[in-house]
Amino acid sequence: MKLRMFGRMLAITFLTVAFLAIGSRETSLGQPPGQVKDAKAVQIPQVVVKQKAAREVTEEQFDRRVFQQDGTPKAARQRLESLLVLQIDELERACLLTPAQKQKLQLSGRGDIKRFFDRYEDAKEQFLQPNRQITQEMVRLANPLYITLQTGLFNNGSLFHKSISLTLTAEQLIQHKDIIQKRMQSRHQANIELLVTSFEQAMPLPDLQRQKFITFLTHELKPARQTGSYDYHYLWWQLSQMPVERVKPLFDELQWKVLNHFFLQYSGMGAILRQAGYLVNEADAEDEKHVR
Amino acid sequence: MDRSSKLSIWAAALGLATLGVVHLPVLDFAALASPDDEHDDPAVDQYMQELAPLFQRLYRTELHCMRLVCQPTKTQFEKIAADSQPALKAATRAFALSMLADRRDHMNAPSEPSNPNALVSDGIAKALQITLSPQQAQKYRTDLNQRAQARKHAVIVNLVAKADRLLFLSEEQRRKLAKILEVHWDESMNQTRLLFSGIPVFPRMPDAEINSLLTDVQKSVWRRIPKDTTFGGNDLGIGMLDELEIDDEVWPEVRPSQTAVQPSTKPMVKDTGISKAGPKR
Repeated sequence: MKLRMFGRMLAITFLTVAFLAIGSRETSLGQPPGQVKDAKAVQIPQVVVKQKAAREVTEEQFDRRVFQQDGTPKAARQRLESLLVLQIDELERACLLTPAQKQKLQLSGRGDIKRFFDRYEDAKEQFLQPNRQITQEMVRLANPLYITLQTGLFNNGSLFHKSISLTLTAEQLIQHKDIIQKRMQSRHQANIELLVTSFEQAMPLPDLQRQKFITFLTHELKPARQTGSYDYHYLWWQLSQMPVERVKPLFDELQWKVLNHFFLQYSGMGAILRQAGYLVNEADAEDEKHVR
Repeated sequence: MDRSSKLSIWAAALGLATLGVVHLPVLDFAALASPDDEHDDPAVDQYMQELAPLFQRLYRTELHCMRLVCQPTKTQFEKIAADSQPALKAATRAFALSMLADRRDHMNAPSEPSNPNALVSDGIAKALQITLSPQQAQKYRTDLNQRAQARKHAVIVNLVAKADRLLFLSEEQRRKLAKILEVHWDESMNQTRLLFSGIPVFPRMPDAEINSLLTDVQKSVWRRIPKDTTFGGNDLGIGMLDELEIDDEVWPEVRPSQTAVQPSTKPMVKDTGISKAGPKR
């Protein structure tokens, strides 16, 4: 059934949906109508036209792949600069920064933005080399940049993040840590509720069982090390990796069957989560399963 | 875009799970869509055919939940299932009509349905009044209301989290924003599809109240964020669940011999996040 085929492709993750949508646009945008007409006029064999069109992945298309959320590099830069301003503004409100501290943080954040755009320029240059394997190169070069944007530029490992610990006083750092912890916790709890609600779309639960499930997840799932676009997926992934005997007692047979259907969708996301910084190394992945 | 693509994108976009509301304008469609109506448009029939298995799945899982809540006997359960079939058909038709209207004239189409579960559960709630005691029927209604409340809470805290990602709200701002959304709750906010997306778009929000919470810097960012957005799609979960078959209910007298299943100490599917083939996209 067409519906099923499309649905299957489109629903694994929203990310995939977005990628497919971009891909579909690329197909139509990569071959302007006039070009096809001209090709017919000079009677270029159809096969050649198709091959040519397939390889015409332009710089613009590379940008669309990387900057899916913002549309263009310019819009992405504006958004990143706004995020930096907001983060410094928050620190200023909470920690009463001195002008010098503020300046240092601004510089480091701008450094992160510059570093990202340098990576982007390098990747695009590589991508535009002749004789490239278009599709593979698109994925290899553009996806890490896309994931970085989705995850955030100012997280762990960024110049901005390092600068905070080097610039703030001990007292300010305590205040900052408190803010971050509370934020992470509130997002974590929101994602838990979203996970349960999304499961209930497929398998409604009686109220008491829902409450038990939420309590279980609150106790068992670890908050993400950093927050970003994959927080929700990370929770599903964690749940899918838990020993069966920990989770199954919460559900009856039919509910368990539906839950396992969700697990099939999310259990293979480890590589993406690793790339996005949610998982650091194999030992961490093992910890995910055993520490809880 | 052909009809299948439209259907799929409509329904599967963010079919990562997706959810249901409890009362929506789509109920207006249900009122209009009598199952006995002659279908004067073959396109409606085609949509209905494609939607039927999906609604059947919702119907079965909803009946299962009803069984857990109301504890009917097998006979009662089967009668409720039979009595709610017309409502199931009406719900499917309502959905088909609204999807068709959307396809034909997206800009002027009535509010799109986003909560198929509500249509199905509403039909079951009505059907079980005939068969079960008023107390049992009330139990189910109460449970549906609790589900609606849980969902509303989930949407609110996730809208706050989404705003927080963009505005870096303080703890107090988050708390106040949640309160504002609670007080100014509108069904148009109940688009959980938006919550799965990293894209900074929001449903219609009470901006005047929200702006009063924000700093100037936050206001300038908030002003630029698209709102009053209908993201399209619905909560059928096509794609995510399209291969999921819901088994018939098992009753004690017909249950096969209960073989003890030894619990595994291993997860169902191991994934360390290491892929020899590289990142999966």
